[in-house]
Amino acid sequence: MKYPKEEFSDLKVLSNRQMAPGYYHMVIRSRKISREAQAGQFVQVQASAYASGLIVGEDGDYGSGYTEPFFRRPISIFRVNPSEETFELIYKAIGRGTRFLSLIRANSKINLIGPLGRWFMLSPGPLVKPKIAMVSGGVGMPPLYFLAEKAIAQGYEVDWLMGSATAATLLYEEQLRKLGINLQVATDDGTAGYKGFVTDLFDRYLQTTPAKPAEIFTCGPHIMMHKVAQSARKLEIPCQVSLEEVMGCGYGVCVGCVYRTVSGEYHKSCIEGPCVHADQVDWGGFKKLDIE
Amino acid sequence: MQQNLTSVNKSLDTQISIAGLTFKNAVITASGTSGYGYELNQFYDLSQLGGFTTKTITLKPRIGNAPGRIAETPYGMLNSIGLQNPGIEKFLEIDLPALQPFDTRRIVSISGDSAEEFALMAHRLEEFKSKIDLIELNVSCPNVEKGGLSFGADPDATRTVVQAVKKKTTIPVTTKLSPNVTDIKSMAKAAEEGGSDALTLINTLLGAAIDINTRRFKISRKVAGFSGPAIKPVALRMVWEAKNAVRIPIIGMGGIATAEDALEFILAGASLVAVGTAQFINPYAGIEIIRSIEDYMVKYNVSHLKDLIGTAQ
Repeated sequence: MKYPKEEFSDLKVLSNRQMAPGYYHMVIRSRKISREAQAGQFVQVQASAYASGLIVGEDGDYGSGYTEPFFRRPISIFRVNPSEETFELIYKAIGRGTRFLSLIRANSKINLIGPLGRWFMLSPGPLVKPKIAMVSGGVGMPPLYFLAEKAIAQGYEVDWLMGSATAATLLYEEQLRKLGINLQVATDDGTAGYKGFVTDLFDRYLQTTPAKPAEIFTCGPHIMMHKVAQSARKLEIPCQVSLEEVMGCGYGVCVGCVYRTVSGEYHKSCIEGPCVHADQVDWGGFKKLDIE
Repeated sequence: MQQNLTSVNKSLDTQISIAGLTFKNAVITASGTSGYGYELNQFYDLSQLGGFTTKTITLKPRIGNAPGRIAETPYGMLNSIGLQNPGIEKFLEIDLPALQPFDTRRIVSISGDSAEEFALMAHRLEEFKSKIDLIELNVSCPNVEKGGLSFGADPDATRTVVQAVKKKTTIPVTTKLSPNVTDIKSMAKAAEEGGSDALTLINTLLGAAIDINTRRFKISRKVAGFSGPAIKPVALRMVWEAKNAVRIPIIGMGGIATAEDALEFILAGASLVAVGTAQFINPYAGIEIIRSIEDYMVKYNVSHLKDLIGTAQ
């Protein structure tokens, strides 16, 4: 049984702290997730007043059957600590659901399921000095960080181009550098690093870096990832993306979260994704919906 | 093997028999909300369910609708999936065998463009009758594009489809009714007259939602099926109305998320109940409902679940 109920009955939030305007960092205890999760996978979190403990149910209350907002929210896993049996999330508390997550207090419970989805695949690089590059926009950072930690542990060199609106929301910048990542940043307002889109910075990086990365991993808004994919394709560098679609169930039964493949099929973002090879995706096939 | 997992003091009989079939308990999953079984089986042993209904199968494979298939609404959701499915042949080759290891009643949902197509599919399924317990006729999917009404809005069309299917198969048949009609009682009667062994209701209501920031409909097909706890009062009313209109058993669904909901439907006249959309937010809903119904039976000294059917006043 992949997701037995007992594994998710009493997940405790150890901490839930704001780390940047609108961004929160949560540490959760789960033996299963800490040991099984791969970089790029996500958890489906109940994010509602009831789930946040703001409304307390009574015995026989059917509160747990009713969540408002209705859907769970998919949140990429940021880090795992198998020896401590904890895992971490970084999320943006901006939408109708995620704002409830920011209200969960330390030492209270959280209702979530995971790990879900297809993860990033690190192909074996050249034996000497394998190098990969990450391109992240906004809250696309967390799953790439998970991957970067693994890659560095395996001896990869990691270049990273991080984009954000402003300096204050460049997530975990110091820690990335401490990990040994070669980090360049771009901000829309120029308060740090390159002023402009991270995709422009990425193009400049591809032109100027002497050793090209063997593979590129990207996560952020679709329009950003599409540009990254195009730039990667020009240099024939394989590129993996983490798709973001409105999700219903998150485990493959509602068939609502589909993306279109280049062969014209609809694949589930929660099963055949979210991590996919960029050249498999029909980038023209998306529809943007307002749900966070 | 029936498992009574609650009290050791009393023996609880949760068995329900309809259309010549025995269900170990009253809880099944609704079509389109539980895939083909292997997905849900990752969360709990599917054998605990009274029954399992597959995603609707069509004659030919369908790729489904463009993205913009789902949207959340207060206590519910809209969906316009477009009946994405591998087609009957692939289903018979791969998904039907995958369902066999589970000790649960196997309900296969089919949909066609015409009565002939329904009959053709029924004829094909008849060859697999040892692997199928009940066929559910999806005459009411609001997402399939057809000029004019869906079958489920036309009593004559409904009756014709049921008759055509009954001619081609000995497997028991239930007809899944659409709520998007003026009078559910006449639809229920039409299906009964056509020879349906049971009725399944309700399918989704019709709804829409608009994103005011992009100024676009949230669903690519604009009008979509509406489901979830918000629709429960409508579904419950229709189950009760249908129960009063026909003699065949009713399988009730529409917004069921908890045992309390399920019991309302049983008390209103449903012999079986299905959990559907609630599984998207809680994959364990099915087994939680089964357990909590048993708790209710213990609390109220109900020895036989079937004694509750239709007893609301």
